[in-house]
Amino acid sequence: MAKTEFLEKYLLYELEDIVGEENIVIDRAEMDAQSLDVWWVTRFLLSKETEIPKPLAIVFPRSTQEVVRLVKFANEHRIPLIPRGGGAGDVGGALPINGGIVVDMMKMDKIVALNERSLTVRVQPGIIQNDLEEYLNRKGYTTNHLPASIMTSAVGGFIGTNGTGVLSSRYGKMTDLVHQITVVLPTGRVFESLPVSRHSTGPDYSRLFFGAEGTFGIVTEAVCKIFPLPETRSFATFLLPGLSEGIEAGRRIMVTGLNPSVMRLYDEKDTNHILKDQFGLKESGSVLLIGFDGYRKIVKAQEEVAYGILESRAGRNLGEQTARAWWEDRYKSYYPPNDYIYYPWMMAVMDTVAPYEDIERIYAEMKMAVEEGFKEHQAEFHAHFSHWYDWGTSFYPSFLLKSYPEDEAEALRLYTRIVTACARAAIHHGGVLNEHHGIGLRLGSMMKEIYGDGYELAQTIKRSLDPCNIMNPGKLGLGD
Amino acid sequence: MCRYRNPGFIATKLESVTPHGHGILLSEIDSGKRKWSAEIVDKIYQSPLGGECRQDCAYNWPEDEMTRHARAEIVNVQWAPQVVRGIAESIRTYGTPFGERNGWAKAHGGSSAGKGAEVLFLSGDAAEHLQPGILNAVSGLLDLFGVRWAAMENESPSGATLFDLGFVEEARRAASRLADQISRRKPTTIVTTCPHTLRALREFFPQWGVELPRGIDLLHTSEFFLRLLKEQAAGSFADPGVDRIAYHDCAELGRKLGVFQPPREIVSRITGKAPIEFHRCREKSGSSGAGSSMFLTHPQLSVRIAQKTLEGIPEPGAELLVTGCPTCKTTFQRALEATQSATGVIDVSELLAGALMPQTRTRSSKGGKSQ
Repeated sequence: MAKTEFLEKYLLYELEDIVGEENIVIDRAEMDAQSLDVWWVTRFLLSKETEIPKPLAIVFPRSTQEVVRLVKFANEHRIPLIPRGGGAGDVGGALPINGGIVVDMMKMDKIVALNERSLTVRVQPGIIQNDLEEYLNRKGYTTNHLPASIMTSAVGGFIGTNGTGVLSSRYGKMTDLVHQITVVLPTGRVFESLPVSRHSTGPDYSRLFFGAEGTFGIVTEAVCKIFPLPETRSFATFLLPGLSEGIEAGRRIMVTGLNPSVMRLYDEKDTNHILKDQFGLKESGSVLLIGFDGYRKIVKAQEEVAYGILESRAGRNLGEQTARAWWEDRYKSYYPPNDYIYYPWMMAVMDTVAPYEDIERIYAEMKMAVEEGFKEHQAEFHAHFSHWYDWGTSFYPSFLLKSYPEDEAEALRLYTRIVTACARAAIHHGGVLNEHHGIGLRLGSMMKEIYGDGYELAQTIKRSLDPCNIMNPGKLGLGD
Repeated sequence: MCRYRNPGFIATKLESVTPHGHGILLSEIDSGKRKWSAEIVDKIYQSPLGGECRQDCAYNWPEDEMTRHARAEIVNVQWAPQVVRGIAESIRTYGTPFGERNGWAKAHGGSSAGKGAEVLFLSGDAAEHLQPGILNAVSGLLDLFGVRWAAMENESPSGATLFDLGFVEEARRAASRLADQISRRKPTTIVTTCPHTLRALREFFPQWGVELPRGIDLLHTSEFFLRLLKEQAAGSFADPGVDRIAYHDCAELGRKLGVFQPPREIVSRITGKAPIEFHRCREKSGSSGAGSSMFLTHPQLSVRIAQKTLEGIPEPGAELLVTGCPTCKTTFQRALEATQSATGVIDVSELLAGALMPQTRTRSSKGGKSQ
C-alpha cells in the first residue's frame, strides 16, 4: 500500500488526535495553492505537465505541545515534516520534495507578551510581520524589521532564513533582532535558548537555528527586539559618477561610525532607469538613496557628515523626493509588474554579501558571467547595493531572460546554469551563496562547494539532531 | 501580498481562499492542468468580495473582480455548487434568497403608498428576512420626519446578489425589472437600507446598461436621515444608554461607495461624541463575512471572519456596535453570540429611531432577528 493511502487510512486518525480534525488539510486545492512560492521554478512549472511535489497532508498546529507530538509522530512513522510560514520564499525551501507533512505554522500567530521596559515582544512564529508591526506602531514601537515581503511573511520564516529588512544597515539581521527562541528539536525535545543572546554561558546555541531553514527544528516562539518609533526619518538622493565611487562613499560612511538606516546604491543600468523616469535626466552614474532615523538633532548631525562624504566623492544631492518615494512605496518591489516574475520571463535574485575589498570584483564577475556567458539568450543583469555594514556590503543582483527554450528540461537546465554561474562568481571571489533569501533547493547543491570539507560539521549536527532525518530533508544541501 | 488582509486567510489560514490561491487554481484550469472540481469551486466561493486586499496591494489588483469573473465561468460551465444554485433559484422564484417572498411592503406600504410618493424605499432582498426591525425603524423615521414615501410590494431584486454569485445575465434581467418598477413610480429619491442594492443602483446598473429615470437621488438610509436631521428640527435625542459605541464600515457602503461620514455623524449627533473606530476602518475596514451571500453559502466561515474583524475594536471594547448593513449586522450578531459577548449590534437607523422615538427602541438581540 502506498504511503499516501496508508496515511489516509490509518495515520490520519492519529494526526486528528494531535491537532484536531479541523487543522488537517488533505484537499488538492489547498496543496496546489500552497505549492507556489516566489521561486521562478515553481511558477514555471505551474503551467507545465510536471507536478510540483505535494505533501501527504498539511497540518496547522496551535501550540508547542502539538508540534512536539507531531514531531514524535513523524519520527515513529519516518514521515518528513516541512515547516512552513508565509510561503514567500524564492528558493523552494518549503517544498515537500520527499513527500511528508507540511507543518503550516500560520495558526500560531499570537502576540504573547509586550515588555516595554526591556523593549521586547514575545510572539509565535506564524504572526505576519505587518500585523506585528501595526500592533507595535499603535503602542509607539516598531520592529525595524521591514522586508519587502512584510505583508506575507512570518517571524518563523525570517528566523529560518536569517532574513534582512530594508533598515538592516542600522538594525541588523534577524540574528541581531531576536533575543530568544523556543525550538522543537527533530526528536521532539524542546529547546529554549537563554533569555539574552549576548552572554558567556557556553556557545549561543540559539544561533544554530537562524538560517537553518527548518532543518534543525521548528521554532515555536521568539522574543524579538522592539524600538521606539523614531522622532524623524530623513531621506536624500545622491548621484555619484559611477558604481565604484558609490561603493567607496558608502564604505566611508559605514566605517566612520555613522548609522544610516538605509543606503541603496543602484548600478548604472538601474540608475539610468531611475534618472530618466523620475528626474527626466539623461545623465549616467550611480544613484544612492540614503536615510537616517532617530532624534532630529542626531539625524541632522549625521546627515551633515554623510552628505559631506558623498560630496567628497563627487556626489550630487538630488533632493529628498526619490528616496522618500522609495520609502513610501518600499513594499512595492515585492510585487514587480506581473510579467517580471511571472512566466514567461525567467529571473532570479542572487543576493550575496562580501567584505569591501571583494564586493566590487564580485559584482563585475557576476555581471560578466550573466551578460557574456549567456549572451545568446540576451540575458540582462542589474543590481543595487543595500544592507551595509562596517566590514562590507551586500548587493542584490537580478538576472532576467525574456525568452528561453520552450522545452521544460532545457529551460530548467538553463536556469540552473545561470544560477550556478552567479553563485560561483560570488563564492570564488570572497562572497557567499546568499545574504538573506536562504538556500532551500535553489542553492543547496552548492553548500558543500562553499564550505568544502568543513560542511561535515553541518552534516554532523544534522545527523545528531535529526537521526531519522525527518526535519525538512533534502534542503540546505544536507542530503536526503 | 494578499494574505495579510484577506478575510478568508485571516479566518482559516488557508492559501486556497486568497486571491493568490484563486489565481493559482484558475491558472491551472486555464492551462488544462486541472479541471473544475467541487473542491476548487468551493474555494472560489469562499470570498466575501469586499475588495479589502486591494487596499494594501501595491498594484491595486482587482481581486474581487477576478473572483467574480471566475464565478461567472463556473456558472457558465454549470459547476455552481448546490447552495449557490439554490440561492439563485430562490431569487428567481421568490425575489429573495430565503425561499419566501417579502411581504413587509404590503403591510407597511408607506405614507404615500400608491399616491405619487416622492421617496421610494427599497428594502433589498435580505433585510426583511434577517432584520425586520431595521425596516420598522426606517418606516418609523420616515413617518416621523413627515416624508411622503412608499415601499413596493414585490420589489424586484437589484441583481447584485446574482451578480456576485456569477449569474450575470440573470442579474441584468432582475435589474431591468427593478428599473421598470422604479420608472413607473417616478420618485425623486430612492432610499435603501441595503448597501448592496445601493451599489447596484449607482454602479452596476450603468455597467449593465440598465437605465433609471434621470435625476433620482440614490441614497443610503444614513445619508437620507442625516440630510433630514440637518434640514429639520427633529427633537432631542434620548440617551442610548451605553457609553462605548463603535461603528463598522460595511465594504459595500464604505469602501465601494465611499459613504463613511453620514453614519458616523448620526452616531455623533446622538451621543455627543465620535464613535470608536476599529483599528482598521474606512477604506481599510475588515470584512463582516456577510459579503457575496457567504452568510448563506459558508455560514461558519462567515461567522469566523466576523469574529476576527471584531478583534479590531480597541481595548476595552465596545458596548454597542453600529452597522449600516442588514447582513453585516446579522453576521456580527452571530459572531458575538458564538463568543457570548455582551456587545450588542444595531443598525444606524435603529439607533436613530431609538434616540428619536425611545418608546420604539430596540436593543440588538444576539444572533436572531431583531424586533
